[in-house]
Amino acid sequence: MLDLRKNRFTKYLLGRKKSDMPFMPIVTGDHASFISGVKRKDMIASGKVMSDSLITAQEEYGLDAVFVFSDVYVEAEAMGVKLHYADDEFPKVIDLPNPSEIRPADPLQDGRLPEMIEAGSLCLQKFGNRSEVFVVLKDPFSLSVLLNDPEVFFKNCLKDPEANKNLLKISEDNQLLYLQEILQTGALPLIGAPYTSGSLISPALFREFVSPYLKSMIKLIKENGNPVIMHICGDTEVIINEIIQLEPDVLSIDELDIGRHSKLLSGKTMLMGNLSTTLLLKETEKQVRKATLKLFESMNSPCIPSTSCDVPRETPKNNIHAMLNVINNFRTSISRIDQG
Amino acid sequence: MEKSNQEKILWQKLSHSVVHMDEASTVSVVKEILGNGFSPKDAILNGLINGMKEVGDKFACKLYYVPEVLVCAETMYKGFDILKEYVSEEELSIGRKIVIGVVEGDLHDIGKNIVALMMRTAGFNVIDLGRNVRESEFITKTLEIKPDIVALSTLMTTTLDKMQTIVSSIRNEFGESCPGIMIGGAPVTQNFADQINADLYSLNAQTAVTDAKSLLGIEC
Repeated sequence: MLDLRKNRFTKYLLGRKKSDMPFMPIVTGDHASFISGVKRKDMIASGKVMSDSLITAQEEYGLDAVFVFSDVYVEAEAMGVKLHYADDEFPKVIDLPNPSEIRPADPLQDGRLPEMIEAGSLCLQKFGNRSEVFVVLKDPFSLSVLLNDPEVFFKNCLKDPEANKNLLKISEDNQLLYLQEILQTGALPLIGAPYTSGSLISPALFREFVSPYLKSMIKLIKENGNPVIMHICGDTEVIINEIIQLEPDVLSIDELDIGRHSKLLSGKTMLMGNLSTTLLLKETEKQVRKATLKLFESMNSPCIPSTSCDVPRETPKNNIHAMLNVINNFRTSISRIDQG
Repeated sequence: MEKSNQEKILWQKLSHSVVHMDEASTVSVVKEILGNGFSPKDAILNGLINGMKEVGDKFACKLYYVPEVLVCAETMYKGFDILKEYVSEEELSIGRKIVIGVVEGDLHDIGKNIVALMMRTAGFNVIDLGRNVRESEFITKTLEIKPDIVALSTLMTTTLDKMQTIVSSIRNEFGESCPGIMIGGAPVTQNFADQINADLYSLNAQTAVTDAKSLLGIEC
């Protein structure tokens, strides 16, 4: 039984009424810091700076959710990956930990995990029931890829599966500890699973190396009365049966056919997505409006209008507003119909 | 058995070993080919590379995924490392050069590595600049190597602008004698390629080879 705050996202998730449809482009720390005039490096390093940026973004666009996320290396860094930070770039890996020395991190002390938890708490304090706060964390498979040389990890799925499974278990333990702390704040976890994509691994490898280590995270989220929200980049159609088995409440998808995905999921999992982030970054307001309308046309069951991935840093503000205008008009027309 | 038939059977066995990721069999068949005095060059082209072509087809049809392609490539190199001692690079090359790299700001290089691998197996001389490659490095290497194609990859929307800048700089630097420019990666689209004046957008590693060949007027 879900026990949630009364914001638009949760009302829509539980009631599926179109008039409650939330506006949830995946605005993370990167775009939020850009529109706040903050350097990427400062946002990445500080939970306070990130939350201030996300609050600014929420106020600018009237977002129904914000996403506490800076870069993919947060958990891997806390577990021993060494990064180099440059002013306006994402951190880069300069050294990987010795596999035999990798241990779960302390989410309240190690690396930037405490900063992410703080960012989630501060956003929640500010928003209350106004909008939802997601803290993004990775699935154990994607985290394990980042703790390793990705090519070695992918090859070992076939050549040395036991080595991968040892690392996956450590990653799972780490994510459960981090997840517990995220849940303590009252924020919702969003499981980002970029390397589990059907563009990279087969359904068989997903069943062997992804599902078993994700199940405990999903169980913990559900036991706490929260919905399970997952984002997978790239192709999700080929692994759709494996995803169905995991029973997420919301699946956020990349630039794929959302109508076709709805049919494949048969309504049990709500889809979220999937306006092209390339389009959002590069095209005009008119084209964003057109694409958002097209997205609405393709949704053949209740879906959450969002983006195909996180909103790029330098996305023009007007393009996000253009997306919002379409959603506002839709809500207004639905309310009119509801009122007869 | 006729010599030519026996040789053909060994090529098939070699392809089969690559496709089925069987390193021991690959090495053993290569030794048998050399032991029989058969052509190492033909073994590479008709055995190993044919095997990788089949791997590419399986990848394009989603029968194989990234782990399978990487292990097949490793298997192929087990055989290639033995055979290359007997064959010069020129004998295997189609005489065309490609400079490839992931643009600055992006550290994801699995896709680029697979494209580079497929290009090499198709006979291109591939100069791989790696990942997070600066604009200046693309220019310097292009000046130095004079490739037929410069191939740029990115997996991130955040580095699309960088891709645009690099394409524009290469065009400005080389003008009329500009090499072909091809781009690819998850956020890249044909529309984006048109916008930034790239010659070619390729959807995946397998089509990248045929696209590159058609751009250069090479029969596929």
